[in-house]
Amino acid sequence: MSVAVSAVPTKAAWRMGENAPHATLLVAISLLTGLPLLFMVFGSLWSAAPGAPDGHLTLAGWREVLGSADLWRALGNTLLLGTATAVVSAVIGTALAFLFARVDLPGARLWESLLTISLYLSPFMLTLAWVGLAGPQAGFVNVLWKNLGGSGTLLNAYSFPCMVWVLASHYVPYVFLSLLGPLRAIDSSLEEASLVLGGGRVRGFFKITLPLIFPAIFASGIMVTILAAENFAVPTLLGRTQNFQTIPSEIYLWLSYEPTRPGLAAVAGVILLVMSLLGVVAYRRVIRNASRFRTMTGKPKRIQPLALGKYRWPVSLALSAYLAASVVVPLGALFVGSLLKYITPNLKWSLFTLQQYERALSGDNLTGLINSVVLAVGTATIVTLLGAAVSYSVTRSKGRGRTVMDYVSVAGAAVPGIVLGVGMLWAYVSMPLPIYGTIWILLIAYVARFLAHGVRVCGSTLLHVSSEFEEAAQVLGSGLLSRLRRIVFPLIARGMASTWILIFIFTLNEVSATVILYSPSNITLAVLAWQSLEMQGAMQAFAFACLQTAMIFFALLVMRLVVGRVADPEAAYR
Amino acid sequence: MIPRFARQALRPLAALVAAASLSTAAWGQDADVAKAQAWAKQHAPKLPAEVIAGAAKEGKVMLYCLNSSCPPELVSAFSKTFPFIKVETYRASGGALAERLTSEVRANRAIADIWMNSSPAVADRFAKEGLLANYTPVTGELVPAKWRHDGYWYGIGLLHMGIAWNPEKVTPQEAAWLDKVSSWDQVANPAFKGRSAMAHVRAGGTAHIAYAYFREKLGANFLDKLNDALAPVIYQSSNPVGERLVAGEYAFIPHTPTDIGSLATYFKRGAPVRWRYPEPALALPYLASIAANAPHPNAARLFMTWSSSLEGQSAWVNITGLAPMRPDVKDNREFTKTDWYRAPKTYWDVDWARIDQEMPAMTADFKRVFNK
Amino acid sequence: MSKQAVLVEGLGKSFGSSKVVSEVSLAIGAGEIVALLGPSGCGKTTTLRCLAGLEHPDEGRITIGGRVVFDAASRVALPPEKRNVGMMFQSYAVWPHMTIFENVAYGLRIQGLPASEIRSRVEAGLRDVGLADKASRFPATLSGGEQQRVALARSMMTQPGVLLMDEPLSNLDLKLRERMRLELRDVLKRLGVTAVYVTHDQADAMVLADRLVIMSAGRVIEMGEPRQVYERPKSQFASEFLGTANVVDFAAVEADGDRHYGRLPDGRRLELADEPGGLRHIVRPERIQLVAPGASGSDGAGENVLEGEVAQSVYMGNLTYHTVRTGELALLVQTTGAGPRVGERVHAWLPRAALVCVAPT
Repeated sequence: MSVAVSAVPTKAAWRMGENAPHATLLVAISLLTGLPLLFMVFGSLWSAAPGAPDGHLTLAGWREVLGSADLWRALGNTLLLGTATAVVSAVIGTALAFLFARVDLPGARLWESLLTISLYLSPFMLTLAWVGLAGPQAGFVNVLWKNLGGSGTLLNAYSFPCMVWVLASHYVPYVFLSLLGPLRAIDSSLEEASLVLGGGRVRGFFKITLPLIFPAIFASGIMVTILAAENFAVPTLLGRTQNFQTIPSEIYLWLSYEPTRPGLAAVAGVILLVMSLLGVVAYRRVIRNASRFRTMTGKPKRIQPLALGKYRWPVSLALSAYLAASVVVPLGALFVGSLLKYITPNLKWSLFTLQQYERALSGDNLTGLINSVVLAVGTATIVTLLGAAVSYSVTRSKGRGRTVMDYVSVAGAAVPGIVLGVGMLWAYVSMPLPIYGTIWILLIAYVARFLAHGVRVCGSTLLHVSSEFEEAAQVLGSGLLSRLRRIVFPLIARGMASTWILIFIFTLNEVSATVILYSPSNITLAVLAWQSLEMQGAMQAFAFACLQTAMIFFALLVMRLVVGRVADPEAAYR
Repeated sequence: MIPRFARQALRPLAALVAAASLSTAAWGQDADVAKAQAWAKQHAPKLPAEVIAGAAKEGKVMLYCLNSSCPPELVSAFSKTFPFIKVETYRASGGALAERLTSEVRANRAIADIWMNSSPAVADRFAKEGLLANYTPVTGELVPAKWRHDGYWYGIGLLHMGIAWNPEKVTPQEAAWLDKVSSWDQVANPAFKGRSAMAHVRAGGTAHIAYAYFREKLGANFLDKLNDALAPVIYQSSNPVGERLVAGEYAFIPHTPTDIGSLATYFKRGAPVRWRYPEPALALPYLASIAANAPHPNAARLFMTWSSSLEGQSAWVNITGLAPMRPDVKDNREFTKTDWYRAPKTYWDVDWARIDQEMPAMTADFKRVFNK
Repeated sequence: MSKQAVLVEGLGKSFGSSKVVSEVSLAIGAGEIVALLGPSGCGKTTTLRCLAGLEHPDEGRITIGGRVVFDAASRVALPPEKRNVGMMFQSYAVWPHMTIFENVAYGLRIQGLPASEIRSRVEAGLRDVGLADKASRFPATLSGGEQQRVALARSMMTQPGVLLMDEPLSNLDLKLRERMRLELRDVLKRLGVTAVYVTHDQADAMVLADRLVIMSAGRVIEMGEPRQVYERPKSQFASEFLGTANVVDFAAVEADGDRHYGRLPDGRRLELADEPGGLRHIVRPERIQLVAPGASGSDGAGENVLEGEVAQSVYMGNLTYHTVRTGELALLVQTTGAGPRVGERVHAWLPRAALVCVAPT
């Protein structure tokens, strides 16, 4: 035999070689989020501020937090806000998903994209808008109501329902987007079977369709609970004056107002983290059960849309009203507010000014704007590449590493931003690395925060790419890199493009980790808006928010264009 | 991965930027330094020449400013005289600034050169704990003795606490009453029940001085009185209270910083707002100091020297809106020219150390009354 | 070296604790088409993927074109890209983002051939499969059959030592599939390709393969030419997997001079062609002939004839399946045309050559 062969030293080594890239990735991801969280746990047991030399281990922080009635109230409020948001989002989201997927709604595609917009507007921005709109005495809406002869207050921004509304209008698209797939996969013959047996359309929906997608609704409800519970901007701005504190808003308070208590913030961070992780476990359980109900096998069935008939116009009207209340009116309020010398419901021409925009685009503020763009581009690029690598690794690897990696990347999404911020603060102040106080710490925080999203979006694209595509190239003599470049990358390019845009937008909107970690050299647009509330006033915050919105709309436009162009030859495997 | 065309396009741009920065560094600077030395001869004659030379070499200074205390105009006022120093500002509440300085200095990764605050008590404590650098600017004596702690912090202007109201939201009778308020014990006026808001005791130095005065001079149960009479909405910081007052959400604020922050800003913009100083006036200095281990020590020294100089004090007053500490610093602020403005007459002599000691008790008291 | 294109010796592979391939040995001659046939889960696909290098066997040795590509003993394991094999997949795996031309040219580009040579070879390859005019199209615009031909052309481009096919026809509809079978065999034979074809469809295997390898539970049960395996199977499994078989279990076999008989449990006896190696026999439904009891002209009536009654008839147009009950035995019998009705009494003649002794499974 005169053949050159690559000898494989041992069986174990062969296996190792196969798994080494997966293992490396796994370790890297775990460190990215795990390390700060470990430091946070340490911080919760440390008597002094991060980096202080004279501290010692203690349970005093835990004792103080667990012994305080405030903490338990905040914990209850956190759960209450999260679940209320989830219920409202689930009800509206399910109704919308049903309209888009199963009903002959005129312009369904357009409605779908219009109503998705609020997912890209941060709850913080929406909150700003609602403060202007629904201040009990001076909000635009309430003044209008009074001028129309109404008595009392129509809408109160500083109330629990308003907090829920702000968060729900942000998360409704999350629910309906995650339900569209399952709803479209239900064979309409299942409903027809009920129809034939004498059940009406409505009964068919409640008896057949709803139970079939209920696990999916429940799962997205859990996810919304986790996401809404970690929000700190909404309860801080709308709940504080009503004495409605949640754990995230307490954490912010402990870190930002005198006397600051970074140790207590770490304790609360650990508690919030545990709550979120429990949520993730529940979510995974439900998702696993949801697949039991999957009726889709092989080719999707043709769906017979339900005819709206005489309800066409009432339904369209209701959708317009919802769009107005969730997107158009808040954005309008932000825009008008950003042009005012001061916020007042008594509008006069002399009140209008461009001052806020001049200020936003000059000096330090311009630095913030540039930082935001640089961070968003950097984060989106890193997360997309890393996300593609991880999801590739996950979908192609076999065995236990795959499950672990999957879990780690999903859990990453559940780490609340403010918790990550606290962890990063403890970790990077303590470690002798020149990262704290630079733009790098935000970049690391953002990558850690959004990697899970990147993995999920890239992963869902990769699922459509059969491993046979790659094996076909492999037997033709293609090595790993050549396969990745010529086969895998072109096939998932579109998924990566939309991941990029998505992460770009998420990063622009990020405020809860940033507000803990920012420093002069790395301030961002979202934090400038946050700071403005306490400095130059809400109008300035509105102007920053409008600039941010403009950038987000630009990104969405680019996504449309890019996806439209790439979509063509790919139609085959969609 | 930058596409090739973009890299090609960026290359000349990068070269241009590099060349531009090199050239200003090379010959622009010498002339600027000379001009700065001339300024020093006139305004701070005893300033050692190496401070300016050192500052020029460092080329940068980082200011940790209180919210709204370092507007771009102030930065340009400094930069006009010292163009070779790039000024970076970081703005946050007093508490956040204190927290940041503590953790950064302790972790030995100082970022701040200048640290500002409005709480002399905290600054004194920091000086004792070694978080501030010891430096006496040659111009320091221009700051009245009451508003400086020699070797550590120097006032840059004063902030007065007052009551404030929205003239469009009060009745004529209420307006007449407001014009006559003369002492702090009067502010608990039940006429404004449900129509007022104020800042939390945590909100920083301004809130500290107000609540300390209430506690010390008006009795431990004054907060209860305040709560019974006004049922005020509590905010975590002062500026949003002013903003909501202007918007018409509230009619009255029983205590608020006036000279600087939202009230003054909105007044300048033509918003409906008035304020008044009950006697004795509660005033606190905005102060500046050099952070321990400041990365740009000479630039920091130069900044302190400029701040304390008459030119600096005047810049602070007229740009930020702080009240002057010296009678010879001219007060050009717009609202001082209105018919409703009354300058304060007497000042409460504050024991800063005592405020610092009583903070926990004050916080607990506040929580007891307002449940926050 | 021998004329063998592929030699598999003692191949074994486990996933976790389950052994999916054990002791598979196989020699394939140059230009031979071998079908690995068996129910799903029998290890045929895993065997194929081991040949390709897409799976890593635990034991055994694989030689392709005289080159050892895998040997557990000497720890040799060439990756797929170094084995010079061609492979066709069930899903075609025609890359959707490349034109037909680019798909087919892929392997040659990897080899770094000059563009002009690639062009001429790809064009020739596309002509071979009848797709010369579709070179610049994208796969999405092609039918399933055309995509499969692209996959064939693509895998043949690099002149592989062996072409591995994993159920490449199973996604096509029946009519197309019948045509593609013949076409595929034509092309493979014309080009003299050595091929391993994995399928669970006996018709595919019979039409395409020179030799069948019947697998079950990870083992090779039987191999041989299609006709031999069908007509003279050695195992009950093979006889039942390939077509339908009536199992006839004798209580005893006996010899009478140079004649051999099998005795049924009820005492009747049937003559056998040879001395049997066991009691279990099979007989194909189409080999049994039915005659009416009184009818004349049935040659050899009385010899190997079982009397019975038609219990069920399934009419399928060109032929009819009858279940004939005779004693304890129920025989499936195939007739052309309608044949007798249910309830009719018939004589079923089992020619002695039709009774094949098999190893029980």
